[in-house]
This record gives sequence, C-alpha cells and structure tokens, in this order.
Amino acid sequence: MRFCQSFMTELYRHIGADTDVPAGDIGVGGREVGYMYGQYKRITGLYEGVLTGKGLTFGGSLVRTEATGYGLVYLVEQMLNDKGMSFKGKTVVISGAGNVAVYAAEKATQLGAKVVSFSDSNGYVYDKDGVDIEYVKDLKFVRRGRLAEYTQTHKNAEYHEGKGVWNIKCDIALPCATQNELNEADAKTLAANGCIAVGEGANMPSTLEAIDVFLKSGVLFAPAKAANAGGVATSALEMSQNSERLSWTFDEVDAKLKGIMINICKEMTEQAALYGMKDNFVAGANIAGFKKVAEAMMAQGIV
Amino acid sequence: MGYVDRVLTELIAKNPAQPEFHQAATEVLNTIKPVIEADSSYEKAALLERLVEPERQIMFRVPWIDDKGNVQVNRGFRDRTLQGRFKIPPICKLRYNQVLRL
Repeated sequence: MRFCQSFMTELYRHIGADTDVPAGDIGVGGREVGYMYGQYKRITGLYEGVLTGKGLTFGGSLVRTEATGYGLVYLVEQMLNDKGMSFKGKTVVISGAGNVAVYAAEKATQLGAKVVSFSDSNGYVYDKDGVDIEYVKDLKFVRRGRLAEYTQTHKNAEYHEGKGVWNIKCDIALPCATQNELNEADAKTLAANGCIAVGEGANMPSTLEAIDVFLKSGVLFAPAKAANAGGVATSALEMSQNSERLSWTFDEVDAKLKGIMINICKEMTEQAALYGMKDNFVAGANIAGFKKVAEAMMAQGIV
Repeated sequence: MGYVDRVLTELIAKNPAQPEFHQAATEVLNTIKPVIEADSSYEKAALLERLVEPERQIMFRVPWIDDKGNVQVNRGFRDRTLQGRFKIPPICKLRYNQVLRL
C-alpha cells in the first residue's frame, strides 16, 4: 500500500480520465489498482475512471478480470474455426499462472480442450489429466503460493524446476507468462511435436526467430497485439460504463468482448491477404492497426 | 536505404541498450513496409519518426517504507507513446512494470 501511495503521489499529475488511463500488468492486480485509485482520489478529490481494473464497488467492470484470458481463447478459436478446426478435444499447454493464464485455461476448458500445464518463475507443473484450475486460482490469487506445492495434493502430476514447458507435446500453445519466454528452439520443438496453433497471451512472449519458425512451419500464429487485446478492449468497456455511469451485466460485457475479438481476427486475416501475405497474422495485425493510427495521425497535423 | 529501414536504423542508434524496443520496432516496421511504400505522403509527414518517438516520458522518485521499517527508494516511469482509440501497445517498452512489483 505504501509503495502504491508513494507512486501515485507523483503519477497523479500526469494521468486523468481523458488524459492517460493506466491499467495493471505483471505484479499489478486489483489490490494495487485499489490502493493507487484511493490515493488519486485523496489527492485530486476526483472520483473518475482514471485507472481500469478497478474493483466492482468503485467503477470496475465485470469480465475485466477474465478479459485477457477469455479474449485470447476467443480469438484463437476464431482463427481455428476459419480453418475448420476448434479447441474441442485438443491438448493445450499454457505458460504462466497469473491472471491471463488462469482465465485462458478456464475458457479453453469450457470450449472442450484439456489444459495440461501452468508455469511460474520457479518452474512448471504438468498434469496430463488436466490442471486443476480452481486449485491454482486459490494457490495464486489467495494464498500467493508457488506451483511447486501442486504435487503435494495432486499425486498424478509432475513438477519441474526451471524452464521446459514447451517440451510438452500439445496441439495448442498459449504463452501467458512474460516477454521472450518462447525462443527459436522452443518453437522448433512445438512444431515438431505437432502443435497446430500458438496464441500470445503475454506481451511479446515469442522471440523474432521463434515467430519465423512458426510462420515457416505453417503453425497458425496469433500475435500478442491481436490476441491479448481483450484486456485493453475491456478496459475501454470499463471506461464506457464509467462515462454512462451504468454497469452492464457479465453476459453483456462478455458478448461485446467476444465480438471485438472475432472482429480483430477478421481484420488481421483480411489485411494479411490484402497485402499478399496470407495467414501471416503478425503482418495482418500490424497493418490493420497501423492503418487506423496513421489515418488519425495524418489528420491531426504535425504534432 | 528505404524509408522504413532508415527509421529503424536511426531508432536503434538513438536508443542503445533497449533491446526490447528494437525487437518490437523491428517486427512492426518490417511488416508495415507494403503500406508505407504504397504512399509517399507518410515519409513527407515524417509519420514513422513521430510514431516511434514517445510523446512524453516521465521518470520520478518513489520513496516508501517497507514492512520492516526500512526506507526503500525506487524509480517510477510513465511512457506515453501512442494515443488513440485503437489498441496499439506501446512500441517503446521501458521496464516500468518491474518497478511496480512489491
């Protein structure tokens, strides 16, 4: 709390609901957002949507917690559907064990997949029967423990120290831990083991060389810019609700989120094809985003 | 050297010791080449140079007292590189989220 308060005591001068609206990332969850919000309100006297990821009792939105993880799976599902495939019956390897990883695992399981791993900074867990997501939620979000504890209560699972989660044979890989966690060797292993799709839940988890391997091996690759946009999109929906001073239901927000992700998938696919780079969704996503930003910048003068 | 390559070269030279920034910029700029090359007005308006230059970066001191009663001094950052309604993640990644770890 003291850290968050000290941080906001300077930051408040530079942010605002119509100026710059921060949200959480690694190590910054609901608890931290709450403390920062409280300090902002104390200093400025303003009760406004200056941060997203707020608690439900002070302007937060339902689905915001699940948004990045759910959004990732919605987009990858659409990418698979476009090729006549789906999550149903597939084995999924996930890295990370935070907000994005846990809710991506939950939504993938709801769609009929089996998620067999999580990882944290100490090591990774492999549970071939499917990881116990509810246990991991309690372990990570409530008790703030380490994955090494998982095998104490789950005797059929394996825990390994250090890296190696990408060596597990899978159909779909969802890196949700951190940047540059999936390198060229990892990509080659995944491709050789029959992985058909990769979706980036974290920011920049794959190295440039890894992306190259995926594109050349025909693995469907959903880049972070598109695939993890669900969180930011739902932050925008939180801001919309703040502006309206209304709260939408879980299903209303979830439906909008799903629509947004399907649309992003559509745009990245269309733009890639338009520029002769069919199925290169990295190019498609960057081009789609760039064209919008460029048009706005060209209209706003030399600023 | 084309417009995109020139901007990327200058970016790397102007921002040494920021490998994540180079990585992110390289990926984005190389993939948007076909769009840039189709319209010379982007170069005339120095669009890419403005795109990759942060609007503003703020660095500040964050002093606090930990649970043991010791004074800690951290450095806080806030970067504003792109504004707009569309989700474009910051191309410039200062490691500010590391500072937020308790």
